[in-house]
Parts: sequence; structure tokens; C-alpha cells
Amino acid sequence: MAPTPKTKALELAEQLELISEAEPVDEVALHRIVAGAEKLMRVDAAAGHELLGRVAALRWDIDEMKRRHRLSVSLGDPVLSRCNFALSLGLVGLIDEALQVALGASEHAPDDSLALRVLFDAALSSGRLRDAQGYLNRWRKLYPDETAHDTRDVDSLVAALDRGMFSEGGVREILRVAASIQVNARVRCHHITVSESFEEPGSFLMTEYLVAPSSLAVDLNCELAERWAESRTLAVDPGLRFQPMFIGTIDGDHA
Amino acid sequence: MAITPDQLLQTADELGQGARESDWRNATSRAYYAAYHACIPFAYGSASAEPGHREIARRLTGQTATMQWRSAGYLLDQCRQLRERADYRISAEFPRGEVDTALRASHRIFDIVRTA
Repeated sequence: MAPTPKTKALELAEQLELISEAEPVDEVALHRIVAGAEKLMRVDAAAGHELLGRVAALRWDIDEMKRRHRLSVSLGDPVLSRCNFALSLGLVGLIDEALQVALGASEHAPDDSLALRVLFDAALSSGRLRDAQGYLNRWRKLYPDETAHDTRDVDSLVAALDRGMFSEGGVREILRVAASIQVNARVRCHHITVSESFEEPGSFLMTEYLVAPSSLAVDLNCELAERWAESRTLAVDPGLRFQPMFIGTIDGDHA
Repeated sequence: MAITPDQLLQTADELGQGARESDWRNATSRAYYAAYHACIPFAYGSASAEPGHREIARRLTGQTATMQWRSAGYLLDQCRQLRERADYRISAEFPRGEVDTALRASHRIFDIVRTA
């Protein structure tokens, strides 16, 4: 029995997910997905554009990525298409644009689990800490049986903000610097986590896991350290109390 | 008998080659302490100083420090936070990339110390 368009789209999306975790990207496999997406376009144009948008993100073709995702948004499910657009934007470090698109998804379905999680990630990645906590709380209330992400640390983060340990503006600025370093290096972000220091309560490490070897992640950390050191403003706020750090996820170049 | 920061880093590198997560966590911890001890003589003028972890990072990143030292202090504090994760958060995943990053960062700090 031939797969339905929806099944085919899911199958291609899963393949794309696997490809996106490796670097360099497997161009042969990517070509197969492009062929599959173009075929799919005849029966489900929104899904086809969305897949091609995600492929463009992996190829770091930002204009094509946006064009394809916008077409998908105009033709497809208003929530899912925006969520996937926001995820592609986040992947290539466009954190503020990702947040705007995620907000759009949530406006269409304020209680949707995926939309809330994408919105939470986008808000956290761009340093909107209080907003991120609000989205997380809403999600926890609506979906108590699902596993929460970084719950305790996000609450601590906002508590530290309330105590004046650092400002949201300072956090946004250092995250903007980190994102610009990531974008310049054309390295994809796989996911982020945030954790509070045990020995220095009120200090936080935001870890950005990159689809890159650790040697490159350390180069980017050195660049981040230099940019931080050059800025008298960042050295004061957030200072050492909120630090982004890049970690490489690609094996094979052990120190 | 005493040991040097370089010997600590060598131990960290050896542990980092291990296959077990416990090796990676220990390597991350040793890598931080190697960098911490390597920085002490430069931050305090004496290897016998025993500063707190945040204190040494603050000293290195102080307003009067050179740009290079400020960067080293920032990297050192990142390594400290990774070390905390390795030592305290044992129920959370600790992927290979974390130890590789910690080891390489520690080597970078040593490079700065050697060229100072």
C-alpha cells in the first residue's frame, strides 16, 4: 500500500532530523529528500515547502529557507507550519525572528503543547526570561503529565533576575553576541539547556549544543570570551552570573 | 611529593580517552582544576595562594586585567560550571562533547598562561 501524503511527509521529516545531527550534512541523502519533497508538493504543497525550507536551513541558504517556510505558512496548518519555521530560524541562530514566528504560532493556538514548547525555547534562547517562565508555567498547567524541561533552573533564573543578580537586558545582549558568533561560523544549534551553579547560587550556564566538533565549539567560546572581555558593559551585567557556552556534539575529534 | 598543573592536565587528558561516562566526568573535573592551578601564580603572583573558585575568576576578569587575562578568566569560569555539572549532576546526561570541550578549553587557558 502506498504511503499517504501525511505519512510520506513524516517519513521525510524523520530522515531530515537524522541528517541534521551530522556535520558535514550528507548531501546525497539531502538530494533524496529534496526529490521526495518535490514529489510530495503535488499532493501536499505546504508539507513540501516546509521540508524544502528545512533543507535550505541545513544548507544555510537563509533566503530560500524563509521563502519556503513562508509559503508553507500561507498554505498549511497555521500552528505547525509556524512552529517548524521558528525551529528552522532557531537552528541557524536567528533567535529574535524565531521568537516572533513562535509568537505567531501561539496566537493561533494559545494552548497547543508544541506551540508553547517552541515559544518557551525561543523566549529562553533570546533572553526573554520572564516570558519564558510564563510560557513554561502555562504548559505545565495544561500538560501536567508531560515531562517539563529545565523547570527548576528556569524558576531559579527568574528568581535571580528578581533579586537583581543581573538584568534581562544584559542576558539578551550576551545571548545576541553568542548568536552572532554562531551565525558567522554557520554552525547549527541542536538544543539549549540552562543550569544553575551549585557552588554559586544565582549564577547560570546556558549551554548551546552545536552540530560541530568540540574543537570548533572551543574556538567559538574563545571568541565569546574575547567579545565579553572587550565589553565593559557585559563584564558588569550579566558579568559571570549568566554565561552562554558552546558545546560540540560531533564525535571524532576527542581532545 | 607535589604535582604540577601540567601533570593534572595530563591526567585529565588520559581520563578523557576513557570509554566510561565516569572517566569523562573525572576528566572534566581534573581539567578545570589543572587550569585553576595554572592561573593562580599569574593572578596572585604566588603558586601558594588558595583562592576560591569565583574569586580567581573575578580577579582574572577584573577591570584592570589585560584583555587576554579577562578572556582566560571567562573560559575558566565556564570550565568551573562544566566541572560542577560533572561532579554534582550525576543523574543528568553528560555527553562526550562536554568533556572534549572542557579539555580543549583547559588547554587554551594553559596556552594563555604559557605566553603570558
